Amino acid sequence: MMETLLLGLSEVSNINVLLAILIGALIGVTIGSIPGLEPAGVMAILLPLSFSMEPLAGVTLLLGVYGGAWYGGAIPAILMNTPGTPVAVLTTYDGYPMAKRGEGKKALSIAYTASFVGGIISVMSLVLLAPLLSQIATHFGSAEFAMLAVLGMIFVVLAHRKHVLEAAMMLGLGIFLGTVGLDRSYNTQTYTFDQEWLLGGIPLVPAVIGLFAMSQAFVLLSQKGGDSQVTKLTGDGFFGGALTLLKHKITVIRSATLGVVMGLLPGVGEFGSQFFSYTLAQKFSKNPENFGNGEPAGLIASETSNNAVTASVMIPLLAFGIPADALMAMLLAVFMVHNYIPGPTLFAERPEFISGLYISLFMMNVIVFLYLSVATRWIVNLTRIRGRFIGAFILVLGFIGSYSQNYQFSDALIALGFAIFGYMLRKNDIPAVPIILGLVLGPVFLTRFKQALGVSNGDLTIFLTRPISLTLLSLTVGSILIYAWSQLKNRQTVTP
Amino acid sequence: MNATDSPLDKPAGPASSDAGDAASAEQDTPFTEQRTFGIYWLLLAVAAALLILLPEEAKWVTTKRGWYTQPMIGPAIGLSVLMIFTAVRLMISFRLIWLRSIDPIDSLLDTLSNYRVALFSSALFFLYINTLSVFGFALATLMFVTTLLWLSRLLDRFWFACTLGTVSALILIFRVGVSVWLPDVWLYELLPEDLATFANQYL
Repeated sequence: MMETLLLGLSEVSNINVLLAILIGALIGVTIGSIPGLEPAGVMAILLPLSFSMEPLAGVTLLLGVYGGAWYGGAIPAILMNTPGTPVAVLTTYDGYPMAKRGEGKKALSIAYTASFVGGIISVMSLVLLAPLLSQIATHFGSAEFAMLAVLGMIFVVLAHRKHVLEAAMMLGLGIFLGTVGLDRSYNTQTYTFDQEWLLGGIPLVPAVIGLFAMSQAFVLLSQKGGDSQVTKLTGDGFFGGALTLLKHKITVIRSATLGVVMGLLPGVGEFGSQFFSYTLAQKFSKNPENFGNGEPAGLIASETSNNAVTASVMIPLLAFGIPADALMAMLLAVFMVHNYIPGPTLFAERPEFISGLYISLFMMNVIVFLYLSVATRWIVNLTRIRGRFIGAFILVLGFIGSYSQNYQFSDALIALGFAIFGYMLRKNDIPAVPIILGLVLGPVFLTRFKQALGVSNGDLTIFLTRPISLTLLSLTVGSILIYAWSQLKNRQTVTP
Repeated sequence: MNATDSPLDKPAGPASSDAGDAASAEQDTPFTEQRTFGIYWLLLAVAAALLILLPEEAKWVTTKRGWYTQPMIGPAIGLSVLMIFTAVRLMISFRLIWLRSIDPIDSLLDTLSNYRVALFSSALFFLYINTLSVFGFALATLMFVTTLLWLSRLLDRFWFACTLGTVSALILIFRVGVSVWLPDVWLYELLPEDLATFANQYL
């Protein structure tokens, strides 16, 4: 254990890794502070750059952006009533009223401290749970991995509560897109329409850049309005948040636990955990009527839970190689480029990488917390940058990101195609995340499905006769039935 | 606010999340009645066309290795899921579509108007990519961003200066720092050889 820790420390002490942690964290905070700019888009742009870095540096750069953004998202949420990231929506409910009544600094301090506690608990859960689950993964065969991929896809679809049909549509599209290209088993072409550039399949990086970054640029370019209205930063210093958190320790523990658990479930993520934490905090509060009017417990529940997801969401990826969301799918791409296959073998063969990853995540949380505690008064100015200006440059960055991986202009045009489609999806409230999950998990499912049936000579009962596979299948069917039942119940409640 | 009223019932604010599903549901928005569900029709048509092309684009292979190894299995699953759920979605929306008459020309004009920023930006982006080998990264990027800002009425001295600064930073980061390679530029051929080499490498 100590030896692995030392190995990890030596990995992290590499200057490239340290720079990646620092730059990733600072970029993340910046993105979070600018309303309208999402970490997924920026991570997509940075993805090709991370391929050329050392594995740990590449992964920590992206994780820094991912984790930092959730911290920074609280700034515009509290000072402008505009969430910097989508998961900071609930932070506006109590953070903004606090800022309005002159407690801006206190609200920010609470948000940072709650995020820090959530982030650290999340890293600890990753350290404890990932190796444990990876041990379970050693008992997995093709049938189990196929069923796990199905469960992951079903969870992603069901997580889009009000848009389940749309999410299922997009998942189907993603699965289809994942099959385009050369079929290696028989050397035949699948839906290439004799186009040479499609032989290698739909490239993940341009697809992600188009769907998340460039489509967001179109949204920003169509923004109207002048300077943002930022509430003045007033109140006590930045270090009083810890005391408030101590007063609400039960809320902190409950929200962090919920965040960790929700992070384990593919597709549920930060918003799901934030929603449940906030609702429970209000239910168990002595002053539920204060929620929405500047109640610190609401702010704590919201910020602790969304940051408690950031590391635990990596557990399914590290243990099973199953990405829980589009951001983790991007991380999986970095792993694959460096031939690091997530799963039990990674823990056995690369303990220094895993240990280095844990330490980097811990350091990232500390750096972001310290940076925000000191530099908020300057970071606030970022909220004044006009969306149209950012939008124009996201398109340029989208070009660099999609082109620089293979140095082909066609990749930038593929990104443009996905951007237009992504913009259409945004306009119609159709989720784009399932496309990426389908694109990544679809081929995993199909390969494992074929392998499993190959073992059983085409006998489909292989998925029922193996206990873990049967359990995963039961979970899948159970989740669908529970969703269908809840929908039916809702309909009966609405209809008199 | 009443104790039983959750702030979660409030509108989700300006940001929407894919995963978080913060966006309003169809029944929650007053604009639903205006929707033509064109994107669903489009997806249904594309899925149907691709499914019809299945035997052509994912050929059946004569093999003893079992049906499950056929290349058409994967696309068939994906396209079926896409088609079935799109059809269900349209059936649910059918009542809304049926209740009002749709003028296809009005509908098309509305759609074009809704997407005009994306369409203009896409056209400019296409032009930008094609002018990179003519003007070079620095000039083409400056022209592209400036045009976008001008079209979105954000071009004044301040934002032009910001653009210049940001383009310079991008050149320093990506062309000098990361060494992103770009093909030789027509414009730089007009420069003396040493300068042209420098410009092709860094600008």
